[in-house]
Amino acid sequence: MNIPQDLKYAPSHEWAKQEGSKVRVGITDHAQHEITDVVHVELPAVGKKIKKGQPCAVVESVKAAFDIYAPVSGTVVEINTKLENSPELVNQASYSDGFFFVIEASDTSELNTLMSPADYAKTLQA
Amino acid sequence: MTIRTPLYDEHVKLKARFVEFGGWEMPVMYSTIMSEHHAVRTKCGMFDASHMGEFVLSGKNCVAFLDMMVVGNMSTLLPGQARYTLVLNDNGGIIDDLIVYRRENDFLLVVNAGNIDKDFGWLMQHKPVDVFLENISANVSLIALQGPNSQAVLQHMIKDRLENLNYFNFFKPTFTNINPSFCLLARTGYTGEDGFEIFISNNEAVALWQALLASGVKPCGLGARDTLRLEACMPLHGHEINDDITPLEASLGWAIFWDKQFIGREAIWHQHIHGLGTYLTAISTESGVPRQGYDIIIQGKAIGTITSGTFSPTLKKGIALGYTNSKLTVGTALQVLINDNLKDAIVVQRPFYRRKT
Repeated sequence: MNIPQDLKYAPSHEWAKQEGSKVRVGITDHAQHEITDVVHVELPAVGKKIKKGQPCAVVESVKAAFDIYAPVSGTVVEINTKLENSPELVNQASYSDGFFFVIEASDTSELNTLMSPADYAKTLQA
Repeated sequence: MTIRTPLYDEHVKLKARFVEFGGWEMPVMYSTIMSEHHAVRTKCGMFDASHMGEFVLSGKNCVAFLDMMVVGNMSTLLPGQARYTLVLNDNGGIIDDLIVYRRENDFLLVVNAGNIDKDFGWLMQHKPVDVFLENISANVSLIALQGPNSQAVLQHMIKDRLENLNYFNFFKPTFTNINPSFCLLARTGYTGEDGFEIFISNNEAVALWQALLASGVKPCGLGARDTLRLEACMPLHGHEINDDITPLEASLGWAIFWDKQFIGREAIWHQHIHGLGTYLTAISTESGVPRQGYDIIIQGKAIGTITSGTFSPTLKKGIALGYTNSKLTVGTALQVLINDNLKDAIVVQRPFYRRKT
């Protein structure tokens, strides 16, 4: 499994990348592999306030829907509009073009509560 | 405790993901539902359907008995012919849907895995002493080979000519390499494509599976089986049909032969005369995936519920079957509540997919 070193990870398989006061969010390679073919992504509206640990997006595979939880609290400032017509980007490039949204974090120190790459890797082995 | 089919080890070797279905541990997918679905629509794929139940019904009065137990006309079935039919309860509810295969001296009944005990009990409870019913499910495996290339692939393994076998006909084949103690080859399926269902004694099931695999047939799981049957609008017991749904409500009136007595006839005749209160409706969505249990909404009011829904790999949009409290014409605009969002949907013609012949 691909687990980039420069990201933080939530136990619910989202990744978070700090970009100044902003946090970019997507799902991990492991998650996209488990979900298989992503056929639809329901994203929050830009401007929506979201709270760490709350469901804020939905990923649909052929067979099932999966909730995506906010890794940090804040306001959604950008969503990946490419996913509307190309949801398969989540499978093809889960850490880059397949990102979900960017949050203006209310408190970037919340990132410290997320897992390191090594700790996330351990949860996958368990 | 789940039950495994004789092909379980083959599925493990192919790194299948498993799911519990009707008490069985079955492969849900080997690669992805999407690729398995497309393989069946464009080439061919195979399914382990060994969880299905098989009963043998015999005795000199078995035709009359079966006619009493199912909605279709069984007396006109000739040896080598099969028919889709339904077993009803006294209220006209569908206990199960099944395929009846007429052999020289008896019938093979193929029933849903989750209903084996219920169906067997119901038939035993009603049968006269001179009719015999045997549950051979534990001895028989079923491999479904489905897709446009099925005949070409299977012909290499079978001495008999397959091009003369019509839809819903069957025979006992002679294989080039295996010699099963029991085999029945039918041109039937649950995908909306041409294809075959091969009932085979457990001892040769693995050999047949491996031969098909070696011929390049893609193994497909219950995930693709569900998307394929839903595109073709074939009902699934526990979803579109159940003990409280009648054949008329499920749009299966075509399967009823009214000119005979059968259990449940009175109840559905009453419904036939007085009309229905619930209607099977097919809908599609452009955005979002409708799924079982979601509300169907018109002008803010819930008017029905989805019984099966999925993303359609062929049509590339959401499709669903459900029941609505009025009969809606094709083109009616409605909404489905998907993940707390109202999504636009439209009533469409059934089936969603029909193969070009």
